[in-house]
Amino acid sequence: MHKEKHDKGREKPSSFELGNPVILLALISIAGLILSWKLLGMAGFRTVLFWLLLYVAPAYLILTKLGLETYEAFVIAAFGTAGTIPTMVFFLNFLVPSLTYSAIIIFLLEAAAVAYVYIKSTDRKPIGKTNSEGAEQ
Amino acid sequence: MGKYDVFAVGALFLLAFWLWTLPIQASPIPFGEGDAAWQFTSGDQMYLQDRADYTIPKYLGYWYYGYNKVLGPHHNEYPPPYPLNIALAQLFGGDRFVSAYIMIAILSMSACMSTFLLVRKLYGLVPGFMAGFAMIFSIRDIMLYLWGQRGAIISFTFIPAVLYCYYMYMTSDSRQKKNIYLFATVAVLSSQYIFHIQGMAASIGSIILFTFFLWIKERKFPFTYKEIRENWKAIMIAAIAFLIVIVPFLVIYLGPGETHPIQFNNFSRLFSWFKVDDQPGYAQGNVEGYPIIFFSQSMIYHKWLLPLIFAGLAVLLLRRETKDLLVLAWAMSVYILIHLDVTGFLNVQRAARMLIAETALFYTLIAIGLVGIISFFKISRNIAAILKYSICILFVLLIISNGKIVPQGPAVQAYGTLKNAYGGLLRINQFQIEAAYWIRDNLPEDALVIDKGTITYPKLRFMIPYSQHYITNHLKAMVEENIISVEQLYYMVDYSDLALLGQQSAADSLFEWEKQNFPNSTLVYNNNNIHIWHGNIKVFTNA
Repeated sequence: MHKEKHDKGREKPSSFELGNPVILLALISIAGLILSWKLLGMAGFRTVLFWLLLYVAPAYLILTKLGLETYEAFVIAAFGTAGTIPTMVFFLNFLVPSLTYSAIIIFLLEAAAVAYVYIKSTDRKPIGKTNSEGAEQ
Repeated sequence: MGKYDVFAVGALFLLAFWLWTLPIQASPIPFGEGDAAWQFTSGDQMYLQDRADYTIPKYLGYWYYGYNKVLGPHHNEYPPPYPLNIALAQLFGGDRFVSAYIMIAILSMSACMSTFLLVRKLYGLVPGFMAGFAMIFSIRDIMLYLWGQRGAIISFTFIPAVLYCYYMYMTSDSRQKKNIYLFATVAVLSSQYIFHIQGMAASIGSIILFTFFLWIKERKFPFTYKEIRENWKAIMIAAIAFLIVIVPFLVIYLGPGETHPIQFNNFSRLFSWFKVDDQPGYAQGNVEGYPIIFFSQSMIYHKWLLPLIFAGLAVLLLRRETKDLLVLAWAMSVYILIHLDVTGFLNVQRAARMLIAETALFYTLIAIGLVGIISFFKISRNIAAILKYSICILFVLLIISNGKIVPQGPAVQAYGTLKNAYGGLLRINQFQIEAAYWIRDNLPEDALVIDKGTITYPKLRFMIPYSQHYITNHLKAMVEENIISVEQLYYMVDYSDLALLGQQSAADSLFEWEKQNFPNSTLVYNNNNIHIWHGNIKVFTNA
């Protein structure tokens, strides 16, 4: 099987500086919130915040913890959740007779999943160090 | 490099968000054609009830696609999680219309991010930025976003993201990374399925062709029994997760029963990219409901950039690295899909919609062509880098050019189109909103309203979510087939648009028509130049 080397430019560990991709993404998110508020008022601010919190942020946090780069984690989080999150809310609303409560429960489950991945990752070996057959060392 | 990638994707998102929300910034009144009203209303009813299932209310089900041959009448045309996105935005965003339209804009404009992701990973930051930047101004995508085929346009934005995840899955060198991309592929592909199956067909076609090309290149099948056996748990979980999302909504896609028997015709179309000049309506400027601009390459891409599509293809065919095979597979998949009408499997209208898959592909090829050409010359790395960034600046300038020095780029048209979209009386006016709210509060739940006088068809349809009643231009067939009774009917005569336009003679002739047609009916609403009649209705159309 053909293998290609990825991630030549792997990001450095987090530090609080503007050049840090994670900090930069946080600043861009804040800029997005301010822009949405300026352009579309409180509804704009709340809608973009809702989208970031329910859809993007949980998946992004999990994906970056699993070793994906900041920008790819952000984009994959946006696309991967666009259909799956409402699908989960849809199924749950048959048990919990409210979309609002179903979405809140899904958000709490996402938060739990993020916490689980972060707690588990403290025991995990760094990824990407493999032998020639692709098995982890 | 990470910070530049983040900066690029952030800049693309912010620019696209500003541009694509221009129609909402101009007015909080919903906009679009008939499809837009239908798709908005299917999410809006979930918001109003704070519940979602497969059904749609009768006031929507009387309209097109209300019948599902498996589930019966009054069922959703799309998998409910798609409109549920809109309902959730309404519930948590705090505004019924603005929040819904922001969500629609974010989902529809996302091709700039997915295209950037794919091209950046395969070919570098500069080509990635160029392709993503150009996608913000893709007038074809903007047209469908404005008109309202939003499930389709959103679904097509996923294609580069699916291809990215699958490529990374196929080429990653550790099992853990492979698993992450396996689950990412499943999440992105199943999300795409929720919005529209046509986009998913393009993704799966590309994936199958890429796998086939890899097989030929490597001279062995890309999936080995040993690999699958060692990783069967992750593969099983991914497959089950995929089926959990796909299976419950299969019935939605199978329900309308749209079939096109295989019947080969018009083979000459295979030798052009998308030939429309032989189609009925071309001379009148409209093919299968699409204006000619929808098919015009020179309007969608900058004239000077168009030849670079061939340069990009040439680079891919000469180099044939694994990443090049992915883009070639994507190109071949799009070619096959937009020519399926030749087999009869799709009609021209459906095949034309597949053209949305073309813009991200062509801008990818243009970016590859621009940067790839440099790699064929033996020049120092520093000069190559300077050339690459110079080309990027030139590319951006061509995209945003206003036509004074070089031919106009797509950005000017995109801005003008979005800025002026459905301006003024092309959205429902305040008097129509008031009348619609009166209908909601005062008419029986099963009442149906025929509307005459409202100047455009979409405006008439956008009164449906406001009134939560079926408002239409035509009910003759349903009355004749005894689906509805005449007692359920109300007739709205709407002078408000004509009054706002100052068209006195048109209003006078409408008034004459009204006097002749409702002699024995009761005027139940008479406000702001809008009349609603009930009882003894003898006219069942607004023609």
